[in-house]
Amino acid sequence: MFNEDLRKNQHDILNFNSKVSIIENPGKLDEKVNIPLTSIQIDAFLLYNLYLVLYPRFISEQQNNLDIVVSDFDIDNIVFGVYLYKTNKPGVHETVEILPNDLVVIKQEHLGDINKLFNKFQSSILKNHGVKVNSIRIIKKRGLDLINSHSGKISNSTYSDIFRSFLDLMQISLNTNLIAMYPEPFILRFLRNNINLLEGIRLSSIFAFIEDLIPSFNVLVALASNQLSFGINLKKIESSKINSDIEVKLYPIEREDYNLNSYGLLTDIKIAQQAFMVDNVFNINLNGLLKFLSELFENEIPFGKEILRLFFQKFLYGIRGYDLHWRMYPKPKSVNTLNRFLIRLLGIDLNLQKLSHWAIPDYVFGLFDTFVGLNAKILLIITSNTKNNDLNKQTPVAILLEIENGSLTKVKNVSDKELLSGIDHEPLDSIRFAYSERFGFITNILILDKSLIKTILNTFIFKFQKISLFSILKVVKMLKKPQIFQIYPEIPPYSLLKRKKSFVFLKDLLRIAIDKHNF
Amino acid sequence: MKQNSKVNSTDVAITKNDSPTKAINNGIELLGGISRFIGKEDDVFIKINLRAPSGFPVNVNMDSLRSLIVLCKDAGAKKIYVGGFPDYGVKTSAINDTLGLKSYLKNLGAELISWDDPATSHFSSIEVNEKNMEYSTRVLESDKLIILNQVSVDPLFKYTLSLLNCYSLVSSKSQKTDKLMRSGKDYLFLDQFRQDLITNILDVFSIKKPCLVINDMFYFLEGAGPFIYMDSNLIRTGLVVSGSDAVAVDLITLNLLKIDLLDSDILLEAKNRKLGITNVSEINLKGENLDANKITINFSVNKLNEITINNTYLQTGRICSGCFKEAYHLLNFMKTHMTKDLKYIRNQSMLIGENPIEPETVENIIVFGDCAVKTTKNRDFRYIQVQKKDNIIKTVGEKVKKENSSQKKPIVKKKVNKSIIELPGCPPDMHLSLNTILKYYGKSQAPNLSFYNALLNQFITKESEKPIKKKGVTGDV
Repeated sequence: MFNEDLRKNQHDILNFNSKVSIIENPGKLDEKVNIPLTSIQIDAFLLYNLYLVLYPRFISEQQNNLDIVVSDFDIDNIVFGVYLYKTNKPGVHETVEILPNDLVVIKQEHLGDINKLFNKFQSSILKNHGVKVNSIRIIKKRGLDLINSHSGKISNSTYSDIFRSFLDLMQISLNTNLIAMYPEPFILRFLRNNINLLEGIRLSSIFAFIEDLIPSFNVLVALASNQLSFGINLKKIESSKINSDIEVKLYPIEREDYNLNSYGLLTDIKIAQQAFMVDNVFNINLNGLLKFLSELFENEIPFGKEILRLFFQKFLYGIRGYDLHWRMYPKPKSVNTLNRFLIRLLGIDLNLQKLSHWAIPDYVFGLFDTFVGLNAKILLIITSNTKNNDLNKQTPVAILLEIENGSLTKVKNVSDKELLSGIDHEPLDSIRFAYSERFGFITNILILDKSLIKTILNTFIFKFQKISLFSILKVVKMLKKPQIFQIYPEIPPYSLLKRKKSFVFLKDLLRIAIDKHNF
Repeated sequence: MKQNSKVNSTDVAITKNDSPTKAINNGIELLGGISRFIGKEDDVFIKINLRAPSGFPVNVNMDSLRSLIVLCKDAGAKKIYVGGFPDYGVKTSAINDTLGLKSYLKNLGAELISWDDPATSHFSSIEVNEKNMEYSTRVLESDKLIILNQVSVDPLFKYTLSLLNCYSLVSSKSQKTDKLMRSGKDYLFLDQFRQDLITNILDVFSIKKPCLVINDMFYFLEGAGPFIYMDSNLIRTGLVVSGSDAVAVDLITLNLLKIDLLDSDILLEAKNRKLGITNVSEINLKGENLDANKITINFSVNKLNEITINNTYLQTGRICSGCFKEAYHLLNFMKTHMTKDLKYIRNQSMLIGENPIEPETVENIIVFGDCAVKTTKNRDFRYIQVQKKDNIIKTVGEKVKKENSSQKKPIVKKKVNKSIIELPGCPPDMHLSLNTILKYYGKSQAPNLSFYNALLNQFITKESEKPIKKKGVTGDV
């Protein structure tokens, strides 16, 4: 029933997991397996540890899981396969046992009450096999076919292709309820509800769009904690414009080789850069990140205003905690005391560690609510103003963002060639009117060029170590150029940005963004 | 008084739908269709909420407005004008720049009227109750007047009634409620400001009655309003109330919000003046059931102390409705847009109304309104005790002579407390108040206010900006 490669990999994982408890030093086994549904090869013991840490936190803290494959059609018994995974530790599957299909007879109508199904299976397996199952996964045959088809592509595809295929698989499965779990983990509900916000937008297209925007890079994201430390090596290879790929590798970070400080960060990050041969190392405290994510997943989608503010605050608090929650190598220039002192002489306080995490969300949301409104429909048009002739010009991407009571409720793809054909020569009010007639009143049109997104990504992520007053000023100046950024109708904060000198505007903005004192 | 409705004024429709457009259309359909209100070749004026350069729901719901314009066009209207006076001296052009209204309405076949543009707008002086009102000639000359009112909470009248919407048919100057002291009458006790305001609102309403009134509560701003503040919350009720009698429409809206007629002094006064139907039993209700659709709303606070602001201590005395409203907006503004400033300021006291009690500290005292300024002139907080510094030569001399200076009592001097911000006016002007507060605290202590003030300066008319004195004194006008 399962794809051969998938089945073999699963067998290897189970085989390794069953050995861990009986071997003295399983880390030294040096066995490699693939992360399920990907081509990423990983040390089997690292995968074991990842399951051990992540599964109880995000999926289920209980032991013993059951997979049930069911038909998409209504037949007498829709069960195609029942697989029992016994676990000694939550999430770490060690054996798989195929149970009879008629263990519990299910019809399509029973799928509506998954709680009842769970109880039936639980009591039946407890009675017949003496195992208490604590969570079930129901996979429809179509979902399994999609998984098999995805797995079939893995051996001869690039990392990016596999990731795109995985995103498609996830989106289709969650949108059409091909996979269900009981008890439903927060992460599954979070993903499904987020995917439901998208209308006509594929996650794989978003990934492809982002992939196209980001420059070549070779970074190591070192996630460290006393419990588990590992590194994700992300490398964008741009052999040609058409065939770029993002290579992903996962490595264990051995505690014998790297010491952790009292904040759970690597004491000597420079060694990691040399050892993994990367341009940058981002070292993040794993515990803080996991706590942030598990809190994030617990919330209802769409986020309420208050929750959104809270998570924005938490995110900024994380960013502010350089040397506390994260650090990078090479060290950002803005963290250097001498650099900060020199910039301070110009009246600018550029201090990442004094980012006003507590005040920025209130101010940003306050301005947004006031000038855009609690309900809004924003048409986001992304253009690519290439310097070549018009023949190379790509059709702009148009996304409609629907906001209700300050929460994002829908993201629609509205890239209509006919409506967007006049973007270069027609006034924006005509475009707004045409879209408003079709989708309801468009509050604002936001036009931004890909070059702006690239510059922002470079300044604030990929070249963060070089961030300076001048690089930020460059972004501010770009926002003033109508061929790169436009808002129609202009909201007062943007009019102020255009009216004021970039330096003065930035100075005023940094007064809001950076704390005067440490509290 | 000009009547311009053919429809039976006792009809009021309550409609509920998933779309504001359908809710509006269904309401008008229940009232007999748009042709019962608008005739062929009619010039129609649609009065909307056009309060400030801000997003929804501060101003009208554009989808509702669109449906109404389309209906008027379908009925054969010759010209459709749309407009309203913004609040706080903001120009219509500023709102147009932020909302892009003019071109949108033009595309729909309507025209946005900018009343603050003297070249295109003309006013007729109309005397009502011995008061001259500057009323738009365009509205007077239009065949039909329609009120499309976005319903939100209101600090003075609980919710923004359609009668209040009509009030912004006259200029800001005419809307200003002068402080008229009547001999033998206590201005504050009787809340004369509120009474005068209600009289003025009803006077304006009585100049030209609308043919169709729509209370659009499809989306309802609760908590803090009608501007968007931190405590504001937008709920979707899906309800629209429409009819030809504004008073009846407001009364039914009041009922939907579970408010009794006796709690609405403006409708009681309308009843006294026989300006419309104020008895529910006389109203011919159509559409949804009134009792089944009543909603529970979180109204705005009716005591200023209930607006909790970080590091700010409020002392209120007796207060008129005018100062209450402006203080309500100022406090909500501070809470929403001055988070960082309030943390930096650390401690500020606000004295509002007549005879507020003494502030707990003598630092950063905001004295709000004429009543507070006048009644605290000789209060203790106006002065601070400072130790007088001795003459250095004298002190050194005494030390040389080995006189025991520690036994001497320090000389204490009484000085004028300069940590006071006076915001005069009854009520004080909001923009001037913000300017004065910013001048006092400065950019470094109030970075959020400084940035916001720069935003406001882009669209507040310069006339409202008055010179303000340096730190520690007043924003006298």
